Amino acid sequence: MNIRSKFLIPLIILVVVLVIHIQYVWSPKLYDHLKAKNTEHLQAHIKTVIDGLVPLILENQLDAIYENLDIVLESNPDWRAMYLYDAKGAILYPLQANGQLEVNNNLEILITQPVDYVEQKLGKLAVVIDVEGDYIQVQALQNEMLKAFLIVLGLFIAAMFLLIRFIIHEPLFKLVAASDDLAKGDFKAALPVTGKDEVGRLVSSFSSMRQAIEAYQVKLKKEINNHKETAFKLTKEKERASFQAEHDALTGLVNRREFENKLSRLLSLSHKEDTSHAMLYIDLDQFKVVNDTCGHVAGDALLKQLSAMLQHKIRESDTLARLGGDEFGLLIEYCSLDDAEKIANQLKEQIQEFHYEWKGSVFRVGASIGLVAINKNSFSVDLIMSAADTACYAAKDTGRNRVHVYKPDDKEMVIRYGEMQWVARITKALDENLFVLYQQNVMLSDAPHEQLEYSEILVRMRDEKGGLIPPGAFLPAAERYSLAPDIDRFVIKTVFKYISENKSVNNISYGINLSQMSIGEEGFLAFILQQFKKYNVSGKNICFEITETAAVKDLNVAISFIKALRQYGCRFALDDFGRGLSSLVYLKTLPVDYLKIDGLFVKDIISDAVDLAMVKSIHEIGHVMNMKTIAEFVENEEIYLQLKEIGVDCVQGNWVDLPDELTRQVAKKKKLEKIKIADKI
Amino acid sequence: MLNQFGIKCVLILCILLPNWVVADTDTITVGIVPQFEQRQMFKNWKPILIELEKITGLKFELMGSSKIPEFEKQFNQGAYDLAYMNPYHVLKAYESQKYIPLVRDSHKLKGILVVNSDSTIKSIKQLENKTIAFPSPNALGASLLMRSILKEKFGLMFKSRYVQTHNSVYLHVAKNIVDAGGGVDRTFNRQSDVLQKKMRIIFETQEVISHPIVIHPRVSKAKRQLIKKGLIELFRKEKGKALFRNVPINDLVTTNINDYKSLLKLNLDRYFE
Repeated sequence: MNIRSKFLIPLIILVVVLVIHIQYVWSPKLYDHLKAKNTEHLQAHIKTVIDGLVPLILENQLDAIYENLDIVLESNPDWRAMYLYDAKGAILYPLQANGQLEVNNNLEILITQPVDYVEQKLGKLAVVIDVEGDYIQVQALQNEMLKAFLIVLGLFIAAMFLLIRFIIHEPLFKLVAASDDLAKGDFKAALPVTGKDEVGRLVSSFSSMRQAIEAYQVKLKKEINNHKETAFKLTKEKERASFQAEHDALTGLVNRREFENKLSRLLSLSHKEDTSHAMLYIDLDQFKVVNDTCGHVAGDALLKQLSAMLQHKIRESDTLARLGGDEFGLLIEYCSLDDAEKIANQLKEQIQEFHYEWKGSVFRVGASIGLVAINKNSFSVDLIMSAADTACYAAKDTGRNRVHVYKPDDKEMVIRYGEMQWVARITKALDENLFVLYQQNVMLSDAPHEQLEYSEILVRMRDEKGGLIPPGAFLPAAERYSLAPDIDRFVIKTVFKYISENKSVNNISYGINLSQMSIGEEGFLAFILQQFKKYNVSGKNICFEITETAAVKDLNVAISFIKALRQYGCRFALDDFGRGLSSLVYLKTLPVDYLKIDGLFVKDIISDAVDLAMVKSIHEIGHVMNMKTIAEFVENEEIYLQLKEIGVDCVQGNWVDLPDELTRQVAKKKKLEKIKIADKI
Repeated sequence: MLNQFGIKCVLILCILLPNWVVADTDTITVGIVPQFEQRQMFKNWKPILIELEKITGLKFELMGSSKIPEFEKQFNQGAYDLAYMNPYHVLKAYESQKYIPLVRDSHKLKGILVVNSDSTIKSIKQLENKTIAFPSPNALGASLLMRSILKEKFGLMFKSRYVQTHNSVYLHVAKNIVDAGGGVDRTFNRQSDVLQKKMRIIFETQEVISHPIVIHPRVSKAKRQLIKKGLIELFRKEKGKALFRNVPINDLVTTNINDYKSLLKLNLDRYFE
């Protein structure tokens, strides 16, 4: 039901009520009122008639009375009848009267008035008056009123409808339209122009709401944009993170993980398509020289430049990755082994030709490259990686700056492969306690059989048949496959325990070899300190031996490691000095106590003048640096005498002392002491 | 209304009074015996006077007089130039002012005694000590002659009630207000049938001469003749006849004082009041 109908219904009810009221309440009342009023008026009229009659009655002028009353009746047509009674009640007028004067219905009234002269009662005058006229008049009036009322009402309703239309309907329809537009997102739809009435307030309220929604929408859009921006940034961030996850931070090349992923894809591709691809494992030679002498910054810059150069040389489809340190990997897609070898050699030459300048100095690096074919016969990513690594190692081992192609039947490969077999054996040995500790004394050269400087611990492995395997067989594999720290831990524990359990040896120093990996391993230093505490062993009982190569690999780590343990009274010996082709510059920075001259120089000292000169030089440098020098491989007296002449402080070797099981050292010590005593005697 | 009108008439009379004494004026003042109710009298006489003015070229002025005693007083003083009066008045008027009778109805009138038609009274004897209505004491046929006969001839004792007019007498009888009433045949016949049926005539007097139109001797002889001729001329017209019938004069004839002197024989003066 619309507003108009809602207005109309009460109006119709109002009309009905009013009509009923007029018909049944107002009209009868008005009629009664008029009747009363009329009666009043008539009484006055009758009074004047009576006034005229009085003298005539007094003079018995009955004809005059008749004449008079006839005229009165004639001139008042609604006076239906009139009786004049005398004092006795006899009817004087009219001539023919039938009984008493009475009214017949509601439309007549009977008015009776006394006719008196002063105090003399002359009679009475009764008149029946027809008031139908009044009734008709009231009816007419009522009809007129109803007519007027209905006209006014009609006009009122028409006006009302017009007003409703202009004041309510049109604004509301406009508002509805605007509302629909708003729903469609149009905020500018015209609003009805209204006053300050309720509709006006509704319109202004709607306008405010619309503005608020618009403002809110603008805000929301802004926020959405912000979110989009943030999302975009996040995506970028993610992409960057993903890039970082897949790439090497320094060179921007693909990192090892991503390289392996790509290798995996290539491998499955070769299996699916029976295609051939190749992988190069590139290890830079002489990179450490740059890194150690000029610092990391220089090394990093070199790696960056070299990476950029290599990237430039290869195809876009190929993948160059930095696998770690100075090692790079290259995947060459859809390439035969021969072509790959050519490419490898070209790269090798290009690396060789690459000149790196740092603060006026020019450095050249070389590259050892291992090449592996990737084809349907390739087994797994690990094996390919391992084969490439092995091939690279082989290239390095066979003289550096060369390309070694991995072939399953390759001798070098067999060796490397053999090494791999050692991994399982070493693990097993550690688990089953198959390692046996030996010791070989390092004696003062002044008294090579009496005066003990320290006792070097050597590790042997018992084989399945109970035979002993020398360290040269398993240590390279242990080093290569990260098992060296485990062996080192075993040695330390065993030695410390031995010292703590045998009071008689607590004045002896033991030399314990530490691998490069152990030095670099996080937590290894803490492990050693923990063992000191656990077995209550003094630092003076321990002399750690570190190879020159191990120390140089990460010089700073090595220095801080050494310094930390020296605080506990431990001593350090730089093992195999001279073999690692190290720059002598390192020596200045390494706070070691002993310089162990590599046995390679010592063993031919008698016959080789160069070796002799080397030993002499090393000894002199050591002394200058306040280090004691130790010569290994003292196999005979001739060598010993030569070394003694040079002034080497300590000697070690089979001529001096044969290696023996550690557990037997207590007895050996007693023998030593006896010798000493005998000498003194 | 009537009272007001009466007052007005009196006032007019007072204003015009000086003119009456001046004889032979252009305006003829007219008096009519109030046999009927005033309005009726005017209704009857005004048209006659208008016609008479046309004929004679004179001006007539009708002067009202509501009661007979008043009328009598007026004519005795000579207030009217021209007057219509009852036969016994003529004697009085002649006696006092020498009014000259001009014309009269040739028909004579009889006095009648009426009772209500429902009344048990059938003879005059039955009216002993009863109330009888009369127009006025000096009305000739209805009152003067009737009373004289009732008393002289029948030795009847009765109460008289004077009710001004003949009509009033009849109505009194018809409405049983009185036991009987005195009228004349001519007025009785003029009553409506309804009224007449309510009455019964129980006695009639002998015939007497009818009412004359008299003129005052101060009016010049020429004018007197003019008026007399005018009246006769008017009566000759159908229109005039009809007008005179209302008076009522059914047959207009000339007359003189001798026609009325016979009334003296009736010896009515004792009853004249």
